[in-house]
Amino acid sequence: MNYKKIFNIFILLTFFTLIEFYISFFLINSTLVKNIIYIFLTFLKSYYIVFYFMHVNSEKLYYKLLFILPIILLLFLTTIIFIEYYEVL
Amino acid sequence: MNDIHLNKINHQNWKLMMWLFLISDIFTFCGFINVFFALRLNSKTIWPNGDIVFTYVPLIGYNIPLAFVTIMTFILIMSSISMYASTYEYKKSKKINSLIWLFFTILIGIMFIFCQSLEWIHLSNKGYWFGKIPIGHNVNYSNIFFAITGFHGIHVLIGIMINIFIFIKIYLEKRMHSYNFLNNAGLYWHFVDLIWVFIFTFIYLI
Amino acid sequence: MDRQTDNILSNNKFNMKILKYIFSRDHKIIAKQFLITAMFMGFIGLFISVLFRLQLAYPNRPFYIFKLFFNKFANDGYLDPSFYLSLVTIHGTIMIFFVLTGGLSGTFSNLLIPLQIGARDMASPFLNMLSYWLFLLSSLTMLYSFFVITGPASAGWTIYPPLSALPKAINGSGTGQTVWLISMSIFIISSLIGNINYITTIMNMRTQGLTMYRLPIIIWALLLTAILGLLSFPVLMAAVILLILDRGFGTSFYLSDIFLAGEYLHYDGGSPILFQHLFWFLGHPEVYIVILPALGISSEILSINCRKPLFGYHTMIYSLIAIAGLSFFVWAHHMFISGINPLIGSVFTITTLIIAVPSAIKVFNYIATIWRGNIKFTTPMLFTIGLISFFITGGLTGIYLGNAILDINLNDTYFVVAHFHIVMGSAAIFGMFAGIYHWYPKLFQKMMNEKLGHIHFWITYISIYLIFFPMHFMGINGMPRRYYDFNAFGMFNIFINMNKFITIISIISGFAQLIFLYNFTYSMFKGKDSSKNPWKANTLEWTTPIEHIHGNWENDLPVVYRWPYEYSNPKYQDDYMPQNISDKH
Repeated sequence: MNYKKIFNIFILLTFFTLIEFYISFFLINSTLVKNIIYIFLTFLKSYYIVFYFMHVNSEKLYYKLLFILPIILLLFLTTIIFIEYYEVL
Repeated sequence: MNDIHLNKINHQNWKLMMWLFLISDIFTFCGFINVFFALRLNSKTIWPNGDIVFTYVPLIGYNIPLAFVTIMTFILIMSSISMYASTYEYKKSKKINSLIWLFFTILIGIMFIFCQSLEWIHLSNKGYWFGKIPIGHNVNYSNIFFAITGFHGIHVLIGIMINIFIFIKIYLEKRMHSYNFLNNAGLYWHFVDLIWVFIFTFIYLI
Repeated sequence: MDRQTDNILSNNKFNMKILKYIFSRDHKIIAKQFLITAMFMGFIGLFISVLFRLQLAYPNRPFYIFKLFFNKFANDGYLDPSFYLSLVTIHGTIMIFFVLTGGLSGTFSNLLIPLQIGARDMASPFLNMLSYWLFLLSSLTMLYSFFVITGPASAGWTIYPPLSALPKAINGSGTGQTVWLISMSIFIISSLIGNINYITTIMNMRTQGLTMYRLPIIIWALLLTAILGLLSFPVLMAAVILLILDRGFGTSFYLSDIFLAGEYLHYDGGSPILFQHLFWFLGHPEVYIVILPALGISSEILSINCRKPLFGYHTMIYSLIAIAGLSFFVWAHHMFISGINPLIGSVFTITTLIIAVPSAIKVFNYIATIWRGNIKFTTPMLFTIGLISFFITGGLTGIYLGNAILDINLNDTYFVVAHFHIVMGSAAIFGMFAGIYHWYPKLFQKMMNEKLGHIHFWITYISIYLIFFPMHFMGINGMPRRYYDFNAFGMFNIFINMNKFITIISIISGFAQLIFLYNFTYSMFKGKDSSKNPWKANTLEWTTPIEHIHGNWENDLPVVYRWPYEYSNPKYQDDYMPQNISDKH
């Protein structure tokens, strides 16, 4: 892990943030596409933060697999909340 | 004693404990985010649009949607970089460099809290608070906004205090044996940034 | 000597013996502290339950004992109806959280994890001590709620809003509920710190030769319990924080369209079911946190007392993992009649029925372990057989309740009360008793009295079936939970005598626990001295010296050569072969 690599990732993260900022100007009419892009970029940013800043990249394999279980649980909870509360008006 | 491996395990212990604590904190925040989804989907009145609510930038004026919060995100990511740099320098045994980067991290953290408080004060002047919102909109928008950003802000404050503590510890120590502590403080600080990325998307953007 | 062992072996900063005990960081002393606190809270919970059983059996009679204990809540000896709800709430909270979570997993994790994996102490002895002191603080705060002017929390141990979110809704929702929420927040933090410690110790500090597949089942169970606690308590923390905001800050997360005493309250847009989702996301893994250590304890005791290897060791591990994993996907079966989307109802029916499978596999394995074993009917063995009996009964009724359709009739009736009392209040408590009787020589260097133990077992076992079995029939006939007086309804008149019968048996059973208390306290001082390995077991905790030392072993840590269930192997001379003795002897 040297400075150059971290600086590159910083530029990448700032770039994603600026994309999100500009998307809020364009694509005003199609909320669904906007939201999907936002969520995708968020997960991408969080992948970079967790794997590089928190250097999970250099840990053993089971550390990386450790994240999958909580994500599945939380996705299940979120799905149930959505099914419960989404009303087709 | 045939427990020579005890020494090597010490670092692994604290790192694992920190990660487990972070995972549990992630679940707390996810509880909040799920509450946000539920309330938003459940709302029978208008849910305000983030582009319209957050248009204020201090010292510049109005009508730049989401500019302030983008600046805040940028600030927090910068502080993550400086925290990482501090840990990296400490590992190379460069104490002064490490302290300088750590000082920047603390400074940027305080700046973030300052920006967040400005945002809160501005919103409360416009009529948003726990249980209050301008007429016609769903009051839960401001409820969940203040609850989540408040909870996140408390985490940032605790992170700043931990950073100040370790700053003093490194400053006063004779031999450099605080790498584990600094590493774990770095993990916590990156976690705070990670949560902010999610809050930025779900509360402000969507 | 490295720094960690140094700290542990010379933990004698305070020379006074009593201070060494109170602020000790030694995991064995912390285990004793958890045990004593949990037993104290357990007896308070038991006493509360006997008192409200009195109210249920004789609803229109004044009792002096009510006036004696609950002065202003029992005018002239007649129990206040809203105070009845407080009693039920506090009974549930104390028993589930403080006795069964803190007492079971707190005590046995602290005692067994370092000893059975061959470590000198926990990963962080300081955090361990902090976890206990926060547990004690939380217990005392909960008990303090009895001395609040408006009375303790009365919205049920599940504190559903809007009853719990509006301080003026019922007496107990004022200061009492606030105290409850504070106590539970402290408890959640204590539990979190403890769980982090247990997981790290088990994953990182196993001794040489001890792979994951050579761990005793109790350690697997305690590991999975800690993971469950780590992942599920934070969601309760989120729900509690939002409830505190609703109560004190005027937010409306859980409230909407509320009238209170004829007045329209300006809350809008919230959803009470949201709290139920968040609460039961913890609530269901919580009951598995309660039962998993008990199942682990029973695996150990069965194997030792039948002098047979545990049947299906790997299957047991995988069933434990399956139960722990699936327990996160079943929470809404507590909410079938709350008005959830029926589609969700079917999803959770399916997952609830699936989770019955690994539990059944475990029970079959227990029975196969006992089959053709050389059974020694010691007190722990009796309690373990009682646990299996209760688990089968309670598990079967759980399958009835797990179906959304049947649950429409049975939810919130005494059928549910019978189910969870048999499976939590009896099976898990019997696991706790079995563990106490079995590891008493390890904790206090003395043996408990066998005869008193047998008497305690038989009275408790028979009276639990006599108390809770009739409740199934009451439930099927529609008798609802948390009502303080059934004589007001003509349809329950047939159960008047049954209620009286249950109350009398519960009083007898309550006194039987005093036998246990006497046995416990007496044997501590005047019991028979125990040998190093009184049950002739294989696991590592019986290889430490009889008198406790910090750091557990005097010289080197033991090295492990085999799995812990090597009993009655014809290859060896004895009918047991400890884990740390190599084959080359």
